[in-house]
Amino acid sequence: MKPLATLVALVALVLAPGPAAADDMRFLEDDYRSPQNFAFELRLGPYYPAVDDELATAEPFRETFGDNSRLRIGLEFDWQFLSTPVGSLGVGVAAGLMRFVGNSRFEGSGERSSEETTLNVFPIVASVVARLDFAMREWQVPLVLYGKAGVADYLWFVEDGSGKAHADGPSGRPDAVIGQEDTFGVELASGIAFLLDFLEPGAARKLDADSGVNHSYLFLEVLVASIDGLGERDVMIFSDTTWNTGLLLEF
Amino acid sequence: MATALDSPAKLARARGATCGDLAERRLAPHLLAGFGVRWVLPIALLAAPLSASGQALSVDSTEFRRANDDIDPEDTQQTEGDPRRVDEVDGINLNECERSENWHYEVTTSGYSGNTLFVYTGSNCSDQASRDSTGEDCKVIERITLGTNSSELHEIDLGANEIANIDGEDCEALDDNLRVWFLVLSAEGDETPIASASSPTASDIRVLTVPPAAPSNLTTGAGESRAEVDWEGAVEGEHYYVACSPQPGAQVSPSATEPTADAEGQEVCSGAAPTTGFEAGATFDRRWRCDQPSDETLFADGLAAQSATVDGLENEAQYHFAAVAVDDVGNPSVLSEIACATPRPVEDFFEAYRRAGGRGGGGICGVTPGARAPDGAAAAIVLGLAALLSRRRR
Repeated sequence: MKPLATLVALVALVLAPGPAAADDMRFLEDDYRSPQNFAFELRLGPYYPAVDDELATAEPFRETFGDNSRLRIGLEFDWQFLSTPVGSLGVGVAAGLMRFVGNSRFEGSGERSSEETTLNVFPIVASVVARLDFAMREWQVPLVLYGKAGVADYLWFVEDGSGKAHADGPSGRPDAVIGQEDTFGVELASGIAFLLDFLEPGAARKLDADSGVNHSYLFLEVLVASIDGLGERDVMIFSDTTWNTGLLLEF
Repeated sequence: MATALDSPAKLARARGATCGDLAERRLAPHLLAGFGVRWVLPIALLAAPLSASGQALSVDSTEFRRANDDIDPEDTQQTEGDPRRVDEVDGINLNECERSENWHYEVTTSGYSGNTLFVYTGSNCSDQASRDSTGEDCKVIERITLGTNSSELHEIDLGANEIANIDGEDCEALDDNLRVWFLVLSAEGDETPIASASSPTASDIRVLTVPPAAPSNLTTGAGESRAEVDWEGAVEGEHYYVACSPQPGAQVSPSATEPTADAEGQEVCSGAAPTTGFEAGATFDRRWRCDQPSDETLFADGLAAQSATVDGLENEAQYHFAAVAVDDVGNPSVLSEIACATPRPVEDFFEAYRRAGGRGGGGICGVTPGARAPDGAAAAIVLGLAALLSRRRR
């Protein structure tokens, strides 16, 4: 698996004698940095929701949008309300965006038409975030392990060539059901963040002094999203197990 | 806006003007009533001080107007100005040149008594060498003898072909940048004007009567009550219309046969278009536009314009489509090659999902009647956010 191989190589690289001398890394100590209370993440990764899992045999999602994952992008803001010698604990809110575009099919023949249909998904997540940065602070190892757990609400709507899509109601009433809703679920994520300050300690010190950004990281995480309505049955399912990468700033 | 000119009145009177000029002038104070004025753009006359005798003359501002704003129902070539920007002075196209559409100017003069206001067309008529008798560079198209009134308003209507066609030939194959020049001279051969101005000041008048090339590689795709039309060959500065046969909203009969496609997936036209003359290479008829003139949804603009979606079509009926390029002065190309599409009902993703047994949908919780929400999870999010805000305030 490529992400794992990349991760192993990254770990080997950073554990080897690095470019930053011990003196250079003194800014990691509290006395040499500005207060730190928040974190901001910009993330992206592939996503392929298990919409068809709800259905017995039919695969309308795969038939419309194909087999390939789409890009999921997102932002997250954390408040690190507790700082301990081991690490920090925080709560965060995140919002994201996914868009699946395909072609509607002609009724009867099933051939693809030139009319596009789109599934738009906006995940909103409230989570608890734990970061273990003692190794970084105590031994100047530029790696931080972290984990997240949260509740998520995936808002979604479907568009056809004329706007919001509708389908016939259970009683056969035409266009009685609008193609939009939200699906609740839980998300768990765990990953490793590489401290970019390690590469350019001087620049990191200047960034902290100028803008209050204490640390910047590149991260790679595994995301397990169980978005199945938390027991509700009449929902569209968006579950997936995937990975994310992105940039993290602590300030 | 008034531009002050210093000019020797004594010299002007000495140069004089012939009474014969009066017979040639076209003072048209009431002509506007006969034209629907589409737009008005104030143009400042640039007047150059020519001497300093101490006696002032002035040339007031003029207005630049475009006449003939109404569509002539008999003129099927007229593109009605949609490609134009009404806040720009653009140019003269082939149709306007052939129709000799009127351009209206208002020129106010003061204190040039006895001299003559000459109206030239050309690229640079301030230079006497360009105003020579050959008329190759500049052609005089008006002569107005200036009277003794302290201020005179001259309303001058010039035919587009007069402005565009300095060689006096027909309107075909012209490609020039011109200006209309207003020169106060004592006589036509004078080297130095007493006063001069050109209009428009912002840019030249583009005279272009060579139609653009038609778009190429037209393809179509059908949807429900709609069709997408794609083409290639878009050029910066051009605009594009899509032409339809039959028109959206027209009474049509369902196709007798199922649509068939060629090897590349393009639907094959089952016969000739129902509109007479609607064929590749035909001269554009503005009545063939898929949209109404006031509807710009099919007004594809610029280099990126390579497709348009035509709505309002009848399902199960075959439509013929063509694309037309329109250059920046309104010359339309001939019709591109013809492509066909037969709109049919489609099933979007949500319809397919529901037909397959999917139970999602119906509205966002709390917004659409009948939708449900998992109260516990929603409450957890709300409480979490409230706790976060509460702690931050402390």
